[in-house]
Amino acid sequence: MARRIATYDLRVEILLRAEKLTKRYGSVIALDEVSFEIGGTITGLLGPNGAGKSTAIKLFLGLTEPTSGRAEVLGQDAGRDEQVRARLGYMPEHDCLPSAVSATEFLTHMAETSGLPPRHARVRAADTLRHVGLFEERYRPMGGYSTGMKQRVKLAQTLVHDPVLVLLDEPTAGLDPTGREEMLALIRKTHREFGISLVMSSHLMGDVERTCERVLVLENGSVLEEGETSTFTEASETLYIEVTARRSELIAALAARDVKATEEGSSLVVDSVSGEDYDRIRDAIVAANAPLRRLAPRRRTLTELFQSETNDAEDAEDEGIA
Amino acid sequence: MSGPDWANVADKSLADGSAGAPIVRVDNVSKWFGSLVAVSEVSFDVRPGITGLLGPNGAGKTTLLRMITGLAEVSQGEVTVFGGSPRTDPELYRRIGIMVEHEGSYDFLTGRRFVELAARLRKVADVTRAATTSIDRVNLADAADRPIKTYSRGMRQRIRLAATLVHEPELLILDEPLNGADPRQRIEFQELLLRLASEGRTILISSHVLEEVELLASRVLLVVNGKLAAEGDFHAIREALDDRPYQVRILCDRPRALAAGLIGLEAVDSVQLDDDTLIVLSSNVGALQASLAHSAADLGVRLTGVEPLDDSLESVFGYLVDR
Amino acid sequence: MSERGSGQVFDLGFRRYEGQREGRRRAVRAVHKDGVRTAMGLGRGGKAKVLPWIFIAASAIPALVFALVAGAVDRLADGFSEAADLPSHADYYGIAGIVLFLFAAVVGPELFCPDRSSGTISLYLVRPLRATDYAMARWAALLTVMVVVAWIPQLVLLAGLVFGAPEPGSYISDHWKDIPRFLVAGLVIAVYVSTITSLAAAYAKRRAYAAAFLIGVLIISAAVIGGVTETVDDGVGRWLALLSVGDIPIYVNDIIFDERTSSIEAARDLSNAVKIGWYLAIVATAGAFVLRRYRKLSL
Repeated sequence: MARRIATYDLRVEILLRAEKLTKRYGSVIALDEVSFEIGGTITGLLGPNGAGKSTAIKLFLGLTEPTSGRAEVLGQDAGRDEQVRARLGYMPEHDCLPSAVSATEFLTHMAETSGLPPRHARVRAADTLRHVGLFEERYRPMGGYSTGMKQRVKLAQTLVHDPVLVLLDEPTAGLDPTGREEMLALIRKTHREFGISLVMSSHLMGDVERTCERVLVLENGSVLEEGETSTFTEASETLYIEVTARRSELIAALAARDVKATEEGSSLVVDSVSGEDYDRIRDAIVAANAPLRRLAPRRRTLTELFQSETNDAEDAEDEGIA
Repeated sequence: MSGPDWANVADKSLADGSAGAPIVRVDNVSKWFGSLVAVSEVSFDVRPGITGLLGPNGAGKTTLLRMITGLAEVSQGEVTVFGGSPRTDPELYRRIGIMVEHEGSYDFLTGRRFVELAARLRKVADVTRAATTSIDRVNLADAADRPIKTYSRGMRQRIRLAATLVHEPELLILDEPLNGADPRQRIEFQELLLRLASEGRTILISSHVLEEVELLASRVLLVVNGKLAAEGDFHAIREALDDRPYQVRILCDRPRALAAGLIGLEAVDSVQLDDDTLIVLSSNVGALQASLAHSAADLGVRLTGVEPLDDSLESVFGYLVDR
Repeated sequence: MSERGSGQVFDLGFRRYEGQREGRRRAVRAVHKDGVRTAMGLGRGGKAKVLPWIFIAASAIPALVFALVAGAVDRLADGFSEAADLPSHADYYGIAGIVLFLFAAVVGPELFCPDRSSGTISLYLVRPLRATDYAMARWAALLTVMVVVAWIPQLVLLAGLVFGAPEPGSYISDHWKDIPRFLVAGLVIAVYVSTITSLAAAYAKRRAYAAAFLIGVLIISAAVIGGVTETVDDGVGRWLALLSVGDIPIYVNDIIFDERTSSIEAARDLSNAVKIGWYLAIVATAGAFVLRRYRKLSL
C-alpha cells in the first residue's frame, strides 16, 4: 500500500483538474460543466455563497461523486482511491478541534491517520507546531486556546503529513486584524518556505489580493474568471492625486496646464495620464504649493469582479442553495 | 480631512439643528466582571455618520456596544444616548436599531412576518407599510413571503437588517454584521450603510475587516485591552504616531538623481533604492509632502507614483495594538 | 595556544517527509488506538480516567464475591460447593451484564459523538480512510475495551476459584471447559453492547442523549418484558422474551454454558437457533445502520 502511494508523480504541474465537471443535487446544479486547472501556487477560490466552491472542494477530496465529468487530483481521478488524500490537507472553516486533548497529542494522531508510523508522527507533530508558531502552549488542552492559536493548529493538521496540496476553507473568517495578518503570513510561508501549494476560498478580497498568486472565480456553478491575481489588480491610466491641503488651488493649477481633474472623495482624479502629463501634474503641485500625499494610478480590485452584477442574479442563487 | 459623506452628514445635522449634542456619549465608562476589567475609563462621543469601532478579539468592543444599547450595566461612568440613559429609558429603543453577530431569527416565520414582528415590538404606527419599505430596502421583496428557514445565510443577514431598520432608527449599532457574507453582499451592505448615513443617521459599526471600515467610516474608535487607544480620522491618527517613521514609495524616471536630492532634505531619514523604486523613510511626513514635488521639479525628475506604505488603517491598527 | 572547536549550524526549517506512508491501514489503526485511549481516558486529564476504572472495579466485585463464597463454602463443607451449584462463570454475565451495559453506554458515545459535535469528523473524512472505516475502527476500539472489561472479572473469578480450591490442579482439570466458554461468552456480550452502543452514539447528537437512551431502553425493556412474559401465554411470551434488549446476549451465554441464568423464564422455550439468529440479526442490523449513518456524513 505504501509503495503504491509513492508512485504518484508529485512533480505534476497540474495539481487539480476539472474536466467538464458537473454536480447536481436533485434539480439544483452546483457545478455546471466546469473545466479548469490549478497548479503549484497559492490559488484563491472566489465566488458568492452557493457558487459551487464547497462542492468543488468535496469533489476534489473524493467525498462525493461527480454527476458527470472528471475531477482529477495529482493526475488521477479524485474519487477512485482515498489514498490520494494522504497527499492532501484540508482545513475547514468551522471549529474542528477536540477540546480535551493537547495540540501535540492531537497532531500526532492526525499524522497517524494520514498514514505516518507513530514514531515519525510524533516528530512531525512537534516540528509542524513549531513551524506554525505554537510553543509552550502545545502541551495544554486545546479547549483553552485563543482563536489565533486554534487557527494555527487547524493549519498545522493540514501540514503535519507533508502534503503536496492544501485546501483551506475561509481561513481568516472570524479572525481579528492581527490574527488575520498572522494567518495570511503563515499561508504565504507554507508556500514559499515549505513548497506546499494551497487553494484557499475567501470572501475577503483584500486577503486574496495579498496572498494568492492566482484566482479562480466561480459563479452559479461556472467559471466566471481565472488568472493571475496581478491581472485583476493592474494599474489603469487613471491617476489619483491626494493632497493634504490647497486642493482648489491645485485644481486651478492643473486646469491652467490643460489637465482636467475631477474630485472623487478626498482625491483628485485625472484620466488617461501618460508621458508629459506627469510633468505637468508635478509642476501644478509645485505651483499650487500643495503637500502631496499620494500620486498613484487607480488599481482595479478583485471586488470589482462582483460589482457589476445585478441583485436578481444573487437572489436566484440564494434560492438555489436554500 | 474627512471624507465627503461624513462632511455631508455633518452639514445635514447642522441644518436639523441637532448638531452640538452628540448622539451617543460615553463618559469615563468602566465595566468589570469580578476581577476582570473588560472596559476601563473609556470616553468618546458618536455623532451622525459612520463610526467604526475596532479592536482585537476580547478588547471590549462588544461589552461597550452592549452598554451603549443598555443591554449591560456600566460599572462606573455614564452612557448617554439621545441625552437619556439606555438602561432606564425604554422610549430610546424606538430610536435605536441593533444587529449583532450571533442572533437567531424565527425560522418558521416568513421574512415579512419577522420584520412585522420587529415593527410591532418597536410600536411602529403602520406596521405593514414599514415592513414593506424595510424589506424593499434590503432587496428581499421577492423572498419576503417565504419562511426564513428556506433562506440562505446572506438572505438571513438581510432580513435581520430589515428588522433592524424597520422603525427607521436614528442610531444603528452593528456588531460584526457581515461575518460570513460574500463579496457581493458586502458591496450591497456598504452601499446601504452609506445611503443610511447620508440620510443623517448615526451608525456605529464594529468590524474586523479593516479595508471595509476604511471605505465606510471616516472616524474610527480603536479599543485595545479595554482602553480607548485612539480615535478620529485614521490618517490623522497615523500622523499622530510620530514615533513611527513614515514609509513612502516613490516611482520616477531617474530614481538615483531623486534619491540624491531627497537625502539632502531635513525631513528624510533614509532613502532606499531598489531597482527603479525609492523607499523614503521620514519622521516628518508633513515636511516631506510639502517638498517632494519641489525637489522633483528642481531636478527635472518625472514623478509617476507616490504611495505612503504604512498609513492604511491596517498598519495604524497594527502599530496601536502592538504598542 | 588555543584550538578552535568545530561549529555547525543546523537547518531547522521545514523538512520534507521522506519516511513510510502506510495509508489506510495505518489510518484505521490510529483511529482504533485513539478510540481505546479516549475510552480509558489516556492522554486526557485525570478526571477522564476515573470513570472507566470505577466501572472495571465495579464489574470485578461480583467476581470477587463469587470466589470468596465458593472458597468459604469449600472450607466449611468439602465438596459442597459442587452440589450447591454456587454462582460461577456461567452466572457472571447474567448478574454483572448490567455493569457492562452501563460502562458501554457511558463511555462508548465518547468515541463517536464529540468528533461530530466538535467538527473533528471533517478532519477524519479528508484523510486516507473512508467514513465507514472510521466508524468500524471506533466500534472496534469500543469492542477492545469491552472485551477486556468483560474478561477481567472472569479471570479474577477463575483465579479466586483455582486458588480457593483445596486442590487447584484438580479444579482446573475438572473445570477447564469454563475457560473457553467464558472467553467466548465475554466476546459475545462485548460485541453486542459495543454494537448497540455504537448505533445509539452514531445517531445521538450528544453523548449524554445516547447514554440516557441506552440505559432507558435497557431498564424499561427488562422491566416491561420481564413483567409481561409472566402474565401472558407462554406461546406469546417466548417471542416477547426476544424484546428484552439486555437479555439477548445472556440467552447466548446460557447456550454456551448450557445453563439457564437469564431472569426471563419465557425464553427457555425458544430454540437455540432462534436465540443465536436473533442475536446475530440485531448485531448485524445495528452495525449496518452505523455504517449507513457514516456513509452519509459530509464535511
